[in-house]
Amino acid sequence: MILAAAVIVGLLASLAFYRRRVFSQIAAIPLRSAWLVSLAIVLQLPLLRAPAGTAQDLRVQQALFLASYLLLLVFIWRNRGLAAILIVGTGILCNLLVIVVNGGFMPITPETLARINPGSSVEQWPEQVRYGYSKDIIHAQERTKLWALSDTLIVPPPFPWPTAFSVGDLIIALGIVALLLAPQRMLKRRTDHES
Amino acid sequence: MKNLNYLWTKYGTSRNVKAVYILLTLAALAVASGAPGAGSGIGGIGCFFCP
Repeated sequence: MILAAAVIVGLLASLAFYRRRVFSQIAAIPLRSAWLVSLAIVLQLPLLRAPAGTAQDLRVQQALFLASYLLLLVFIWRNRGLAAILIVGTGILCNLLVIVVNGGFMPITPETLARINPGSSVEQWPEQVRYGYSKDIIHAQERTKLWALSDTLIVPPPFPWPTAFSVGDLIIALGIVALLLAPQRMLKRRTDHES
Repeated sequence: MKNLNYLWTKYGTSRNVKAVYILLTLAALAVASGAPGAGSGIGGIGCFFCP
């Protein structure tokens, strides 16, 4: 949710800044190999459509999910000339790191889930169970490696769609907003052969 | 249909189509690299891909 909001915020900010030139500015972003991102989503779909359950039942979906991150990293590498994409890549690496060291899913604590699901209690969210229709697995804070990079940040109620997200998500959101907002000349890293 | 044709002729320029394509790519990047569904409860609006 936070990342979808980043695209909307970036677009609105870009619209306010560039007004009638907004589509020219966006169309001028030289993204390469965008199909890799679409393919990454396709690989993640089996996991995102799986209901809550144990991680052991989802080995194939998990492998596809991790493979999708490799595609995203290739996409970042292909677009490394854009500084904003490097910010996005930093966020992706943060997420991937915490996912890998915690067994292949993004960890989330029962306390966080209780906070974003009004009316539920901590006991309602058993450990080692995947949170349905997401990339998350429920882990106690003390058993979460690199806990600070996991889904610890929340947009709490009364926000209509209470959401948990990670520091990596926040960095990705900043990168997307920067890509949509900042003038392309500032974003393009000058390499030796270009100058 | 006539109005649609008119709108497409007026706004469906290659530049605008490319801008929409980039926006869709960024939205896809947001979904793929972040954590859709973490939050808002099962079946909530955050659950983009629930069957």
